[in-house]
Amino acid sequence: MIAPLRRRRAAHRWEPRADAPAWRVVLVTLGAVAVAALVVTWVFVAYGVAPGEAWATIVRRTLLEPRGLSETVRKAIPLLLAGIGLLLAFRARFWNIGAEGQILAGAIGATAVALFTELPGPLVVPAMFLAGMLAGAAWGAVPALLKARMGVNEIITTLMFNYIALYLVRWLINGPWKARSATGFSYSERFPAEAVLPTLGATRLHWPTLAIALVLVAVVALLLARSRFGFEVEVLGRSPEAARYAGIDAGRVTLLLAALAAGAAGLAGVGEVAGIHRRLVEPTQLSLGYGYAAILVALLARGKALAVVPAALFLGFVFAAGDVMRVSLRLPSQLPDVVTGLVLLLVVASEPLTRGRWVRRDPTEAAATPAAEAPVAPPAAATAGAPAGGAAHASPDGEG
Amino acid sequence: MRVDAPGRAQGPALNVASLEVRGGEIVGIAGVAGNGQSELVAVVAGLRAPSAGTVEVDGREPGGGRRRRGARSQVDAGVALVPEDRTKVGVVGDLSVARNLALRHAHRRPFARGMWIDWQAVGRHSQSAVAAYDIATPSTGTPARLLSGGNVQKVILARELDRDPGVVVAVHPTYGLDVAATSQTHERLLAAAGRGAAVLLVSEDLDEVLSLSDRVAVLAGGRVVATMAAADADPEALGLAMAGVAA
Repeated sequence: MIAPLRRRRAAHRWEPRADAPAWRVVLVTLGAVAVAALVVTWVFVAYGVAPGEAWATIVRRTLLEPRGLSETVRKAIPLLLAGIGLLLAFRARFWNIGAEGQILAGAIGATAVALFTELPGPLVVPAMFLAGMLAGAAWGAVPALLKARMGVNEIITTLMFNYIALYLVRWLINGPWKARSATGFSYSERFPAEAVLPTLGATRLHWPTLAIALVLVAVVALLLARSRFGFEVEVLGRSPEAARYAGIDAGRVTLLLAALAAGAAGLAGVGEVAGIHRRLVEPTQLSLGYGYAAILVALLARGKALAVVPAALFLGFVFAAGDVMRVSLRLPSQLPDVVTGLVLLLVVASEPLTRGRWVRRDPTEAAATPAAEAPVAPPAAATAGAPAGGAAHASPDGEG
Repeated sequence: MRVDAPGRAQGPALNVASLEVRGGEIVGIAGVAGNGQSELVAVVAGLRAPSAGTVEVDGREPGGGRRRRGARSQVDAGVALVPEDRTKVGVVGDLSVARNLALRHAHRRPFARGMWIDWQAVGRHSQSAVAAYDIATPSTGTPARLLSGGNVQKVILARELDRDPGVVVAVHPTYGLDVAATSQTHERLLAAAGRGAAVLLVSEDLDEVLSLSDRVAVLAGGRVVATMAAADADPEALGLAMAGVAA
């Protein structure tokens, strides 16, 4: 066609809906995940890996074998903790991008207790969790204070705080906390035995952290559904103007939420150092981008606290699958990032599909349009000026 | 209720306003928009702190002495507000009618039990409020944004007037409403005053102000430039005062 600027009139019309039924949200989310899986399959083919065999290997090594399953769940733990915190923060429109740094801050707090205090044995682990939570909360409270008092954009500050935390950890393990035995790689001294979390059998599944995470999810679900605080968060998240009218102290609620969210991420950091590494290590090994993936966990859960559990398990699977792809299939180690990025993109792009549907135009309405226009054009084929949400049109739920 | 706000001059904001509304009385604010009405309302309702001066309810400052808690101090002191923007401020569109009916009172009994909210109490209250205020809604679980403007206003009136507030501030309470909803709103405000509330009515509709009010205060340039009994308010004198011409 010559006239690229002329918008062709589609045969279908987008009809927004008042509210998104739960089944529709689940279906659209699964659709987004399915599209991501398709793209990954294409990547397998491009790298000359037989896709059927690749998927079989991934499923076997992440879900079917006990050891693989434990790795999937193990990687879901920090995602659960950071994810439930971010869900809270996002509910009140506090866009915390800083869970990664808050995880590192929590790890620093736990390490300080593990290496430099003389507590009686049974108190060490609880003290580490407490210190990690407080360190994470403090790390997250600074951007929240800046936002509440001075209106500083929290997206920028929380993101920048990630780098400060990263270099802080690097400085500690190369400087004051550097292990005497460390040559080449840098890390801290090994934690004493009483500062190490028990694991399930021979796996690396540090179950105390998992238990804390699940309890926290349940508590947050209860708080959001039944508490005054939960109601304030709900009002504030939906209408800041109405919240002010309702006498809700937005600054206080935001600060509290941000601290809670960051404290949860801090707990995740404790689990990583005390359950997996047993020392403070290079920050990019300590957290494999869990703080960023947790953003996706919170988005996938769409404000529902309990939905964080399947969302975190799914991303735990993506991380575990990434290991399988790298080790068993010899694919590039960046592939898991590609997958999380894809899912993020597709979930965000498919959001409008949860809130509306395509309906066929009324024929009389179509007759009123100029004759020069193409009579039948499915919306996906519309090139110029594709309607919002068109990007996600490949989702199987598109015509719902 | 009494307002003394000799504030610093900040644009067309509230400059010097000294205003007293007695219980059982409706005082209408006449004035051209932008002469301090919204600032007066914000100060009285606690949405904004006056840079100087005081708001007293029953001779006491709401939340007096303690750190200000925004509108909540005023709510607790019995100051009701029917806000100007009923869909954006007055209700949370995504929330149910039942929750909107509890919006400004969720921190108190009977809705609050310690740190928890008794949603059953909220539900029971909404049933009776929907019946008493004749709110047309498919159910109390319907999101408020699906209601018509008149019914949204009924939700707000039900919430604000149901607890026999000592002070009622109503801003453009009938703007955009149909005849039936308008007369119902007027009746509700008169009934509130009849029960002893001090009613501050801010409206662009001069007829409304004159017909409902006992006294009319004219706001011009952020100052109360004249107060007069509504019964013998001369429209011409009122117009001149509103235009800022000294009487």
